[in-house]
Amino acid sequence: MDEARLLLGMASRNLRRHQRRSLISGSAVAFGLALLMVSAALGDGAHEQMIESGVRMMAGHVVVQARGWQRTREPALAVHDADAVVRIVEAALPGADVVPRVFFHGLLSSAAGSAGVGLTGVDAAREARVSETPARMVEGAWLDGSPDGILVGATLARTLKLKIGSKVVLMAQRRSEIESRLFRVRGIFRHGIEEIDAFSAQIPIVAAQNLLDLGGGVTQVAAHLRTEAGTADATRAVQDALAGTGLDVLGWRDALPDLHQWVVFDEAGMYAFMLVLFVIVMIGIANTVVMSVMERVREFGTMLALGLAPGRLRALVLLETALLGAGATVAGLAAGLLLCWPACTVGVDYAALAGGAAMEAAGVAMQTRVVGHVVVWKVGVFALATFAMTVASGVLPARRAARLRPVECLQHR
Amino acid sequence: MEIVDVQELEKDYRQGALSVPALRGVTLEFEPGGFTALMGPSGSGKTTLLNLVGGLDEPSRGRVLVQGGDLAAMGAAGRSRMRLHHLGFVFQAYNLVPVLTAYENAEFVLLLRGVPAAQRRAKVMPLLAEVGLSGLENRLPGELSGGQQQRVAVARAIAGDPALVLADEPTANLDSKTGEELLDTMRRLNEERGVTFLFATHDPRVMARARRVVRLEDGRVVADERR
Repeated sequence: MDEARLLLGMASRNLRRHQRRSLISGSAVAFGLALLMVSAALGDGAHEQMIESGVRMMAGHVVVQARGWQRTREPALAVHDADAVVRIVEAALPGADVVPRVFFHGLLSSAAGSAGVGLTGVDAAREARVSETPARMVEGAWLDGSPDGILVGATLARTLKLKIGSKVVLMAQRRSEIESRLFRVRGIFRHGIEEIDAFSAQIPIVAAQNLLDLGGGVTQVAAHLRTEAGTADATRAVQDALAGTGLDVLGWRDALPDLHQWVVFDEAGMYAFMLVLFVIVMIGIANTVVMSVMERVREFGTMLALGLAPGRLRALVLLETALLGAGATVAGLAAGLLLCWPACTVGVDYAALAGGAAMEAAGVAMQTRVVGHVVVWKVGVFALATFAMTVASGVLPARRAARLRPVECLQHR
Repeated sequence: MEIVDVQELEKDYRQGALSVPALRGVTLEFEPGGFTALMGPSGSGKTTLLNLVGGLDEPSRGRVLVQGGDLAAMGAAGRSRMRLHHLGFVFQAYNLVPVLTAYENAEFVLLLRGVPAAQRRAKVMPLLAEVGLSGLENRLPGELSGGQQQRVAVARAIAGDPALVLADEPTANLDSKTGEELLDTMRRLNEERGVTFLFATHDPRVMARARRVVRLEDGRVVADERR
């Protein structure tokens, strides 16, 4: 016990002996940890924003679709009796917003020209609770009960020279025939993403069902949860509730595989970069520890001569790196939290980099202001990894110290 | 029974392809209570012999027995334990641990042996007083003069009541007055406490105080004078 205390005391004093060097080494580790925390917080915040936005726009946290639709995107593959499915999902997921949607493609024509568009048939009242589009209206208003209202993107409106009240004809494939309907522009939206503003439109779900002859069928019944975290449980609950119906029940990761993979690869890329950064820092620390060992060869030789076991000498060097690592980790956590605070409250605006008010990633519109989110368990993992890597950087120098021969050390100049 | 028994000891050093002999067939015995000086010019093998007796180096041929134990048979860990429990060291450059105070340096060996704190204190404090360092216990080596540092080294060497203290040129870095005082202290410890000293030195003042002088030349014992 006394020996352990002696080694601990010596390790601590050895660090203070070269205060500037210890401070520089510790600062490098602390800075790395703080940078990792902020990057991870902003990355997680951006991913959450992306997932939330993607889920709102293109699916839900849990979706119910006809078997095969996910692969073929065939409009005729519908969830029949959507009202009943909506009720079942609502019962399985109390508190969730459940929306039916019809997805299809068509040709929108005005007096000025025609354009291919991706259309969504929506239940206006239900959709308004989950969609970002009502908040993106730049002219006109969100859909109401009228069956011939249509919302178009701002770029599409400009291309087709549309104004509020303009007439447009929508042509779409109905089984093996072409069907057309007349609509009036009720509103114009702008998400800030060209793919959305130039090529998308929304119509009442009843109009879509009539146009495609779906009866009471829809392409998708989507459930939006309060948080993404409950997706797995919610998916299982809906799967149980719809067991035997032949419908696919998917979580957002399966419903939006491109978005999920983008998030996974983006996270992996960030962590790989940080790992490289940390390895560079650790090589620097290892070099510092080696220098510190080589400077003290005579001192180590004396202690070995007096009877200190080589293993204890190894422990002393490792203790020094452990103390350095512990101090740097605490400092890094403090600095990281300090930097995370504005990143998680005010956020970081990437408008200058994005060149607009919105960014696009994996086909999802995102606001340029990213508000970070600190995930506590990740911070714990980062801190432990930082500490462990700092200690690991002392392993080779410690082994080297333990292998010193006293007689050579004592002759060392 | 002798503390150290050196039998036909030889040590060669490699210099590239050359083998340079440092010791050539040295046979000596050292008894308890001795105050012995190994004298000789530079390169005569004094320090080499001291290192081999202290188990800090391994002989090319021959044996060293310390308190009846063959150092070669002990292995590195065994020699480390032997040094801890039976030997003390005083080096030319003091070799104190710079981050430990005078008291902590002096108690270092006892602490490694696992002696409880109270017993260490009871042993070390009077010892520091005996070598003239009362009131300086909490100073770091950098805050002590060369003579004071060497006194701490002497206190550290004898704190564990070793069978033998090996002192390699202990006065070489000290001025003459301080060197004289240190040697007087060591001689007093030898006479009053029975501490056994073996010196490797050029210093004629050590020779003047020694009760036995072993002269080495070119790795061989050329004279062994007992007084």
